[in-house]
Amino acid sequence: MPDGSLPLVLGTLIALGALTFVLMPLLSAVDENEDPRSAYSRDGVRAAQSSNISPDEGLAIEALREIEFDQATGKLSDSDYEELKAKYTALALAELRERDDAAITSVAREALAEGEDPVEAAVRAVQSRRPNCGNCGPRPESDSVYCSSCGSYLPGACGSCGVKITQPGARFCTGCGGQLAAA
Amino acid sequence: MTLVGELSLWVAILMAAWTTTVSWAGGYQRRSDLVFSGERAMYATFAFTMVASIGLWYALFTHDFSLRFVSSYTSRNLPSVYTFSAFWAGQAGSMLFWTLILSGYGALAVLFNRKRLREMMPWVTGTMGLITLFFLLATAFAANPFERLDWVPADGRGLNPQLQNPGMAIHPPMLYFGYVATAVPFAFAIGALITRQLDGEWLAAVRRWSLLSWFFLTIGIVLGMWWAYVELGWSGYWAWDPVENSSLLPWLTGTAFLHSIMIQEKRGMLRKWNVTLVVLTFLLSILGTFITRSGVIESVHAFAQSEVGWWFLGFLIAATILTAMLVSTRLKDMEAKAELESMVSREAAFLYNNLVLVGIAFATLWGTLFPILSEWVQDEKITVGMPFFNSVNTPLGLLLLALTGIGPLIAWRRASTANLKRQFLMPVVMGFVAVAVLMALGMRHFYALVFYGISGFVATTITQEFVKGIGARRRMYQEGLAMASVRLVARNRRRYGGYVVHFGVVVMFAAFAGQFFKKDYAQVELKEGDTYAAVDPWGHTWNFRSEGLSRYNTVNRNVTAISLVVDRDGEPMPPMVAERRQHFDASQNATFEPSTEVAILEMAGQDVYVFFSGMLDADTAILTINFNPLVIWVWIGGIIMAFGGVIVMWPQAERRERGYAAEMAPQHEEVLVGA
Amino acid sequence: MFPSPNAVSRRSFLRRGAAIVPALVMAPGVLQGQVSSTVNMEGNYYLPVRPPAKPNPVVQLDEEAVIALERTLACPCPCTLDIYTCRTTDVTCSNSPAIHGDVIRMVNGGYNADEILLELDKVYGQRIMASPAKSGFSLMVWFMPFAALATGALAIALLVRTWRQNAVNATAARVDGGVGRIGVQATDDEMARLQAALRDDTR
Repeated sequence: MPDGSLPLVLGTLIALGALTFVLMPLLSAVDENEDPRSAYSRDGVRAAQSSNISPDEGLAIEALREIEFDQATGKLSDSDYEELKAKYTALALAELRERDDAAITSVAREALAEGEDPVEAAVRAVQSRRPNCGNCGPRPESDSVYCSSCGSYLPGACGSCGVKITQPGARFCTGCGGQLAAA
Repeated sequence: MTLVGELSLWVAILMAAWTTTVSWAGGYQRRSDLVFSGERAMYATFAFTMVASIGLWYALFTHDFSLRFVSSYTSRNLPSVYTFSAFWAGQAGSMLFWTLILSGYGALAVLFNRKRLREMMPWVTGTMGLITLFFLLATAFAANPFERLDWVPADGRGLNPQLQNPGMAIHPPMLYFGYVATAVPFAFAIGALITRQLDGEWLAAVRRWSLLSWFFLTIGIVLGMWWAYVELGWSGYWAWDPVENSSLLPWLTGTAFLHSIMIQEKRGMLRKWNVTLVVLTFLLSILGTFITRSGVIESVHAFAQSEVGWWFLGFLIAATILTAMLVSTRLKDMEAKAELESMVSREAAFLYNNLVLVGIAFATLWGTLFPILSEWVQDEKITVGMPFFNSVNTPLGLLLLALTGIGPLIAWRRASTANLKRQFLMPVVMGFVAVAVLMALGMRHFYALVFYGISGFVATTITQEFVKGIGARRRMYQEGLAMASVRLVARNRRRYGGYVVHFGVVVMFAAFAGQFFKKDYAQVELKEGDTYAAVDPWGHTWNFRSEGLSRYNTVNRNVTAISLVVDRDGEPMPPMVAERRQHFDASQNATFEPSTEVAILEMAGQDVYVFFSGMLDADTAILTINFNPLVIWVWIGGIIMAFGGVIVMWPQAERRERGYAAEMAPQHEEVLVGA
Repeated sequence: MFPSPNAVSRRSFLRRGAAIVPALVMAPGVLQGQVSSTVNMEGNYYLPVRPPAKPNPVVQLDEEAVIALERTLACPCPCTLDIYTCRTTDVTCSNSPAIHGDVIRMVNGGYNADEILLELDKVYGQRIMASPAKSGFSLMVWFMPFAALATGALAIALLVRTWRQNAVNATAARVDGGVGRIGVQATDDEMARLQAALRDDTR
């Protein structure tokens, strides 16, 4: 091997390697819908959704937290505190409802895409948020453990996999083994 | 290896060009394959720049003097740590070093966001690729470290003695890390403008990178001050030199951004202003590079005049125009419904903080560029020196310091007079107490009293914030003292880390005020056995007795050292040794002008600064002896600021990263489980 | 190529660009011409100032006055220091000791501080002064930062006022629309969720 050719050979090999690395994505087709790193799936739906400047989510709750803290450290007068609290509670509720609505809407849209009745799906989604008594139907209180009409245990569903939880006091999901939030 | 490095530089150029082309094309045509290819090309650009850098380091360490760069900045007898740092000592090498950091940041930005901000990233990657491409081209064509000489010198010229200092080995990299990091928020701003997404995750990304840039700039600037102080020998650390100014400019606008972005996060306002600050910070760092490298403005720190400067000017103009055009097409998207509950509120305080920071930046830039303007307009060259900057920026700095204390006392959104009175009572009282105590002790200097009054005010504000915050936590969350203290900072790192930074600023300002008590230098001539007596600003009497001169050779230099036996009011102090050095090359020929090594006795109250000015005759040394009050607190303040920066940057628990969407979800889960 | 919501509108982009191209072409030329005269390649900036001594010279400045005078003079080399600081420290500077020599000669020649400044100004021009004169064109350098700051302060005051007005209007609108009473309309469940989110400070 002639003197000084080693770096050249080495360099060529590195360059070819890099070229393969860089051009690979062009040679193998990328499935836009499957690859989670693709921004352009579902006919640009995802992209279109995010293409507007959306108001920041959670601003109001953040503000409320700060108002509480500022009041506790004595920076806000009581009247200012009440006024701001009322205003930002209203805004936070509006945010919260917007989120809920958005969640329901997306459920309905998915149902539509899968050929189901979107209204049914939305109703189901709303109802699934409330505990459901086997005897008396949906209960109004979201945090009750036992039915207030007949006293029987209110079954829930696992937050991660959706499996029904019927055992009172269960700490882990029978479906996925995940820890249950309220346990 | 050197050859591989050289070739890699050219391959890196191709890679950077590819990065830009396919990333932008991919973003425009919405094609993921192109986007992925662009991201990989960004990694590859970094890899090849790294190989090029390793090639240059290899050439430096193997003393390959056929390279002009190696023979210009190193010699065979240069200590290896300085052989390593010679990489960024000269124009060409520092350009490559700059590019290395830039492409590294580009690769990191791609890596961190490979699952985030997917729609914006192609534009970000492309912009980073383009900036990298520019730097690579400028390196390859205007300042190529691999440029070869027609002949091979036996030894190199060696490194400038003033650069043979530990500060110089770490100061430039830190500054570069900071300077270059301003490119990333800029790239994100371009991406956000193009895709019209100026909120949410974008904010988080830009904030993180701006903070990183701020952090390194802070460290770099303070290290630069330290280097100037211990190496240049005029017993000061800041001369408002154009190069110093140009490192301060992006720091100022970057600091302004880190404050004003909070308003956008909390209120969704000031989008236009924040984008402007991000862009301005980047452009100012390019302007700084231009000033440093073109020789257009004279400075001791500047690199030799070089055509590279014109590349930067071109880039600066092009980037300014293109960004301005892009911003102008996006103004509508940045409109926000701006509301403010009260004129007296934290938001308003932040606006004035921004005004002062940008005002200082403007005054500094204006003063730096005015000599050019003057020569252009009235054909007369003038000097805008330290007196100008000190007299303009000192009141502005004090104003800023005062705002540091005022801002935290005002609540977000609204403030009422009664509460303001309660909040301000303690800090204001303490400020006046500080002034009264100092006056009682005999201090009469007006500016110094203002400095210390405001410092006392701000320090009390910060303390009060911590105390009241802990108290509030204990009440609101029923936590114990220790738990509340830890959680106060841990759950709100940005606010309380910020306060720590502010405290560092207070310490630094207090140290600056020490300069008001600096006395004029005393130049003394000492033979062996002679004693010089002086009174320091604190009223102590010092005696300096010469132990005589010693002459010896070491590594790459001939040293003449004078040893002084020192006592203060009769109490012995550590001996001091000041040196003059004549560097030489491998064949014992003198290189460079003689340099000096200052003897500094650092104490809490003052530095004793002994500078070996010269020789009167063979055994009489001329010394400049100087008492420099409170200097050590400048460095301590810098360390506190950096520490505060670390607190702010420390990654939050996973939960915060997931954001609001995740926060509301557990509520559903609880409901779902119902157990 | 299909229209993309995110792409820059090329036409508007180019239109804006067209106006700026001439500026781009001209700028480097202007600066180039200007800069070449700025940079002295020689590195020696000293110019002799040797006015004749006055007849029967009386020394009017003591050592301290000379130091004070030299503190107001800029060393013409790129060190950015004043003559006194430079000559007592920067050993490699050949300019400041030479200028110091000229100053001492003039002092011994009976010149007072103002006359010395005048003589130096004749040879070096204004650049020998460490800080620009507060008159004529140089006044701008002192004036502009504060003018800019005042303008900025005014702009912010106006901006804040506009925002305040927006808030007043928005509050009025909310009260009219009944949104302000939302607290009454919220269900217990919603309030509970809100409270939980509020208590959770790990965000």
